[in-house]
Amino acid sequence: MASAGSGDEKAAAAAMITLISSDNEKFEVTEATATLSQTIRHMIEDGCTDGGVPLPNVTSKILARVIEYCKKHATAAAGEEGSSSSFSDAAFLEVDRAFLEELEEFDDAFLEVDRATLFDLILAANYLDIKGLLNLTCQKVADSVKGKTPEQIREMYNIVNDLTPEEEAEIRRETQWAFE
Amino acid sequence: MDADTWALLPSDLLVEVLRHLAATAVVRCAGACRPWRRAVITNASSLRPRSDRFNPNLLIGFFYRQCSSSIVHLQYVPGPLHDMFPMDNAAADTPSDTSISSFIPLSAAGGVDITQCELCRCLCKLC
Repeated sequence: MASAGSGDEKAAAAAMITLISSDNEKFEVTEATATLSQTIRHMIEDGCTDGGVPLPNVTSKILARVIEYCKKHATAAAGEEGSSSSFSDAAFLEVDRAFLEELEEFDDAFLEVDRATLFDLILAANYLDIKGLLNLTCQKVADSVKGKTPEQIREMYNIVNDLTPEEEAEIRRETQWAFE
Repeated sequence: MDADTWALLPSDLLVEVLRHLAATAVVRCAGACRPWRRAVITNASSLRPRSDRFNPNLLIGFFYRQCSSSIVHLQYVPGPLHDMFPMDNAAADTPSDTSISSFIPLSAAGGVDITQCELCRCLCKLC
């Protein structure tokens, strides 16, 4: 931040939350980062974060990635709110655009993960109720199945074909007819 | 990664993924495995695309084929705009005992329509 932080910002920066993964690893994050998760936001509002927030559904490996995402996006949110007074409109728009581009690049790089990690990220985003992350990860899966046949989708996602030959023939007839 | 992890993706999350896809891609996903097929069929109505992308009131009509029959016989179902256009040959000749009212068109892309009807969810070819 270019300008001196207001008292509120300092207070927010000081408030730290401890997140505890399923394998008992502790992560200290700022409240601004943690509250990107609606689940954690509600816990903070209810005042039940003393002594750490146990997240039994999230491993340390996945939690580290989720926190990385939240940190970046929390900074983005703070930047949008905090910088408007320090720049003229034009300069603000310029900074805004550059920041959005950077955020997009971050998201693209963030999604460079294997399918197993992507699966765990979707589950974690859902459990922690982080809308942006859920949307991002689901979009990634959607993009990967676009234009693929059922066989290719199965292969890509390691899905066992449990359809009977009759059902499969029916699906094939349906899709063949549909894409003629 | 274990086989079938993705087949067991909770159906509400699969729906989140499918929401990003056009009708044709959703149908292909429905052909991947049984859990996905079930998820698509039971959540068809929540996969309805935004109203600005598909307006069922602009359907002239569509053809559909009974899933169970092995004979390729397309049945013509006139849509709300049917009477606005002079129809000839095949479409008009095909006796239709079905009206649009028993279908809820959900989505359309590339000449293919996804429709929910009383009996099943089916694929229809737009005309």
